[in-house]
Amino acid sequence: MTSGELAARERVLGRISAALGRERSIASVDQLPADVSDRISRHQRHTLPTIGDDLVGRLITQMEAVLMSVVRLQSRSDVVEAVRFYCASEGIDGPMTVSPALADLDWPAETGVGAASGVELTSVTPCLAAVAETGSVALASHAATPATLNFLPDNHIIVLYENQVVAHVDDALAKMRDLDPLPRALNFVTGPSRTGDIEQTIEIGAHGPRRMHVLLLPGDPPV
Amino acid sequence: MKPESLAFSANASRALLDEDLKAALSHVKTGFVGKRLEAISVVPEWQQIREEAAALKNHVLDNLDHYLVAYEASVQRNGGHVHWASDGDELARVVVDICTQAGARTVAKGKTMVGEEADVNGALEAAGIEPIETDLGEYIIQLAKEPPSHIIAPAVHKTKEQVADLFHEHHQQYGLTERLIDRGALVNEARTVLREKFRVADVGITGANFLIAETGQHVLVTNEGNGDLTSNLPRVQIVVVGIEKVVPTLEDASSLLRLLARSATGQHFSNYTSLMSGPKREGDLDGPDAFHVVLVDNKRTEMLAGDLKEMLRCIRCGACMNHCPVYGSVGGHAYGWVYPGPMGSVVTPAIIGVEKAKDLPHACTLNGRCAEVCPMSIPLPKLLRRHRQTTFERGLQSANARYGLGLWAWAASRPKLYRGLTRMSVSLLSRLGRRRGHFRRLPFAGGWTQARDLPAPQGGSTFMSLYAQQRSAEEAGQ
Amino acid sequence: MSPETQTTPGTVGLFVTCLVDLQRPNVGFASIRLLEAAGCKVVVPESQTCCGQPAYNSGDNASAQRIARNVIEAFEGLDHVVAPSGSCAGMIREHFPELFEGDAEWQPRAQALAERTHELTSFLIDVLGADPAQLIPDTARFDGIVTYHDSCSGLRELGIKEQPRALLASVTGLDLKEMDDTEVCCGFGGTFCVKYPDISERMVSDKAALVKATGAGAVLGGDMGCLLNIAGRLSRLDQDVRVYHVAEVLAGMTDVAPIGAVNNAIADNGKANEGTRR
Repeated sequence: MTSGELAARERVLGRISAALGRERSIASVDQLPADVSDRISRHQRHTLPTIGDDLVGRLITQMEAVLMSVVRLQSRSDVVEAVRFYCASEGIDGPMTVSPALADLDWPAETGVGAASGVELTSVTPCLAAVAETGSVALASHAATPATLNFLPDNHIIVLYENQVVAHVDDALAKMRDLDPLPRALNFVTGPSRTGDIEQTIEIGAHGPRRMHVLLLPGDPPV
Repeated sequence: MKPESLAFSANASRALLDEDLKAALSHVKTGFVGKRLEAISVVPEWQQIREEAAALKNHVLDNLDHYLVAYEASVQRNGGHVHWASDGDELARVVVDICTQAGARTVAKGKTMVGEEADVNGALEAAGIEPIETDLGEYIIQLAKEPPSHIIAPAVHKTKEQVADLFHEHHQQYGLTERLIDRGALVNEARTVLREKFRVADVGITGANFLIAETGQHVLVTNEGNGDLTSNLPRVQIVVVGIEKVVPTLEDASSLLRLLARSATGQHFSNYTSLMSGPKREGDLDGPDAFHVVLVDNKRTEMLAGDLKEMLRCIRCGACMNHCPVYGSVGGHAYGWVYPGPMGSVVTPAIIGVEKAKDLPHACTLNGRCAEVCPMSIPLPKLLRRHRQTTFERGLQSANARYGLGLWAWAASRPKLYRGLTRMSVSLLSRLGRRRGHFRRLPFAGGWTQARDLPAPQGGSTFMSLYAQQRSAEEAGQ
Repeated sequence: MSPETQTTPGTVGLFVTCLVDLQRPNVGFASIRLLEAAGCKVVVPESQTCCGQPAYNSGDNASAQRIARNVIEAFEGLDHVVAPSGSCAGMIREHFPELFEGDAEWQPRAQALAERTHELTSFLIDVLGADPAQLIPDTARFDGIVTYHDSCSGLRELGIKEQPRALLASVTGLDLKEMDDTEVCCGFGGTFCVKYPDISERMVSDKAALVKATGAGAVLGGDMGCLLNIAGRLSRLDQDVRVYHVAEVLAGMTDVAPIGAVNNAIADNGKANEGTRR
């Protein structure tokens, strides 16, 4: 911060404390009042919508409602074939890049591994969680899971394991909280990119993927 | 942008004559109102979630400095820089400084209403830096050189034909020479043009929906994904945000997110809801090299200190304007500044001064539909009345209105006099209006009779005098 | 409401409202007839004028307080205060206490009055627990399709929605057909309609179109402000739709001309009379 900005900080904090009828504000986080730091560390949940016990069933319903397609696979070794089949059936023919986290699979030789460069038509990524409440996939950025794969390609294929399905957004956030370090980005994606900015009529593929496809596997992801 | 709120009446009257605007605004009802109702009808816990959210925000406002300091420390822990700006000018200066130091030539921008407050685009342009709006609606109005007319649908006032004309005019330079009219084709054309802009942008600037004190993350909600491209591709990321957006924890943000999308667009969750903080981590293959957040006051502390404090609970969903019959009639531009509709009529006078927006608090029937749908239970009509009090106290209402009202109030607190005056005028009007039952025109009633007849009094005299006559007849008969 | 919590009718002070006083005495007499049918003793305090809303909504709180004090003094000895208007009842119930915030003498008096003040249909149904079938006189007959406009203050400040409909269901011949957006403001808004006539015109035109779209021969409501506005617009458009206050229909007192139409032109209250809007 420049000295001007330091002054701005003091001015804003001073105005707030004056507005709240306090003599002065705290200078640093070490002086946080106990009730405030308690409030932050308690992670208290608010009322959550009831969503029933069938998390996977609800997830699939919600995903389909936001135009994501879901197929069930038996094992991780089926992923490459399922991707090939999906692309063939959708008529997608072009460069593909997968997350480094999935690099060990038996991809065709021309498949890219890494972040998106903007030329690929399709990406394949793992995810941190999927949320039954909303039908979202939660994607945490990491060296092995670059975030640009979620946004640049036209088609985004996500590998999801049943045990990654959580009930509420709060559960996915709690999973992120346990990551160390905190990922730079946690992206909840709930269907292909859309816009209603022309006459409030929904059009798909505004900036990000036009298609999203979920490969649902049993059990837990590999560690 | 330069406020034009003083011209509300004239602008509103002009807007009412605009047939394109009328057609465009008709989409608000189909696009937002019905979908919202449908979305909340499947959440029986809605009222409970709403009440908790208001309580949460009240708690934050009562400890605002503490949570901001906690958020600041968390951002720094993640390797980000925190800046403070006490007003719009300071915000613009901080943003330009960061961009200049980064050697930026083009800036990709996600939608930021705080940025609009400070006219960040104007400041960037003045510094020789090209800002490119990436939200489709913002991009459309940037091409049209217009301000937004809605906080979540900035180009809601445009028909697709008008968008087609704009694209046809501005995209020929990229070799896109055909005038497309189909909505999907227009969206696709914008995608193509903006992809290239993302590629070359040095800095990405977005707003934020929430700031999380616990983790130092900000939450950014979009449907298009433009916010994420803006945040992930350029080498420098700047977030500009009002100080009232901070919440304590991830759970608190989650609770507000439950209200936001449903209230705004009737979605259960927006397509892209992202939590971000800091520059790329060690080993990351993508993400910005530097991360800045600017915390902006711009009169929010004045609202906190005064009787508009409840307005700071606002999460900018736009439900109030979607349900406002005045907004639905005149559109957003008539309001003359960044924020239209009911929330705008509270916020605009608070930020630019009541003197410069004295019409806005009065341009409302106090029908209360805005407060009914507000997910944060902000008593908008009450806050508009507060502004009205200020305009009255400072003598900002028209002399005619003040004089007429004063005269009437003087009489209404003198029952005997009032009785006599009303009896006289009613019997006169009854006689005059006997033939038609209504008046087409009447002196001093031009505002009323411009568009409607004035029903003639029914009874020949006031109720009070007829009732008195009836009583004395009854007593005489006993 | 369970019978245990029902209030005895007692003495009701009729808050006539300034618009009923000036424009539509019939609504006042209809209110008295309904209240008496429900077993109330009705008094009409002579010193009442207006609830003070125009001043309050214009930001002139001092004038509003002066008028409010007049209302409080006129009505505070009575068991209940009832107004044939959600807007005026809402002013007394919701805003009088707020208006005197911090005033040790008047705030408690305002609060006490607020708690005993009700809109007419809400008083009959919610407070007295009246049985519409017994309350509505046999003479209340209104043939044909009608539609109902929910006035904003009554709806949102006092929760008035089902009460008038429950009562109307007992009126012989009446067929209620809801319009779209019945809860959307008609554009009256007190001084709003004269301060911003263009915007008000658009809003009331939209409302008139919605009324018309139902095919109803009459539109009813619980607030004279809205009704004058809607009637005035329908009249200007030469639309053959009659406008009545709900109390008039419930009390079987539609033998007077509809709002804005020619006095006594409609002798038979069942049928629209050609030429009344010429």
